[in-house]
Amino acid sequence: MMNPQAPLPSAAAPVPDRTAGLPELIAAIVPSLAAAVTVSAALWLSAAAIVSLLATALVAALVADRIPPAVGSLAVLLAGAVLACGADLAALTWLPSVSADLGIYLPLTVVVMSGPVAAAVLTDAQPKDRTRRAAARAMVAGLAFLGGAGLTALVREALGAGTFTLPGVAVGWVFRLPGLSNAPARSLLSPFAGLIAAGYLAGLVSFVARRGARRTTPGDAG
Amino acid sequence: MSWPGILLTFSLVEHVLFARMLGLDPGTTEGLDLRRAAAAGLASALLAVSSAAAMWALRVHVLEPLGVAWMQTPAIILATAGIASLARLVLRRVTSRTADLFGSVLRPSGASVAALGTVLVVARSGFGLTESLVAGLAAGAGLLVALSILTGIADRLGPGEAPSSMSGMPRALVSAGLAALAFTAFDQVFLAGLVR
Repeated sequence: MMNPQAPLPSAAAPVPDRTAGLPELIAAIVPSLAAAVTVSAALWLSAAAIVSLLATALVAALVADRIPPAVGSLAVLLAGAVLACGADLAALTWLPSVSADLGIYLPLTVVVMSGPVAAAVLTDAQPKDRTRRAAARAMVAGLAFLGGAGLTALVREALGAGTFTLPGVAVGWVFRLPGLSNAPARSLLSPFAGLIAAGYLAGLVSFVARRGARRTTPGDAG
Repeated sequence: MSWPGILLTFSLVEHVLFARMLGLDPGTTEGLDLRRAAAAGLASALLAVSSAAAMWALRVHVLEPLGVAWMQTPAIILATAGIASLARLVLRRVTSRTADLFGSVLRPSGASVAALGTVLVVARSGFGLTESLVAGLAAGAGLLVALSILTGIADRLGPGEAPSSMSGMPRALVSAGLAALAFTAFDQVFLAGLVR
């Protein structure tokens, strides 16, 4: 029987909403799915996203205590723009085929992905271990990008082209999948299939996050 | 490319949402109605037009004379984000009601990303000033039409038609995918037949 004197668990300490930044993160991943039609493209985009996320999150953690949030956002934006330019130029110089495949989505992914994570780092109220938490946040977002883009690309490429492409320096290594490569459903490579796949992926993530949040909310236990 | 060609390409064929998957974010999809759809389309068009004009001036008068045309991408990003922030600031000062409406669509995702994507495409296509402005307007008009279609779908479906996990952004994405399927009718062959 519950003790009437004891405070309710939910009233004792505020439970952090673990799904708070999820819609923004999903919205940031969605545009990249237009370009991620092969596993190779998804992996290149993920690499760019992880590097830029780590760099901008660390910049945000460094400036968070020193300058006002508005100026901090500007510093993060500047860092994102420099990284986008760097990624674009590096791809153009050393990986021209990748640059041609990804087009505007390489700089766009770098900028769009950095935003939500850097904003969360800048508004983080706890100064203790800010850098470590910023790096962790960036890695989680980067891995979410890799999972979302990689999984969608894997399904779309396997069913839509009947191939599996791994990234290579000059050109990717293409493996033909027996059976699927004889009659691929080419429409799965179209943007409309990407949007539908992104919708169901976002629904799945939302479902899992809600279940996780319900399990960890102590108020629901009794 | 001729002006009608640019207009049709950016509003129908290379559609900002249905072909490039830009312009959808939680701020736009939560409680989407015709007013918000119009605000997002208008914001995207104005942002793309002003960024394209600023970028053209910067490229012609600063980057190319200095021989640093490779700095185009960060310049576009900074110009678009700067104009969006300035617009948010001005709107907040002028009227809170308009700021509430445009504030959600002018966040650093959604319409801003649609405008950024459009300006990046325009810059890489080597368009002149007038062509860039036409492309920006066409992309914004395309987004307005797309969000109006999504509003119609959301109205027809109602709140209880989809599982709770699929409400909001997931439902908007699936609806956008199905609407994009209809837009595949507008392809380059269609455009070539229409504009010679």
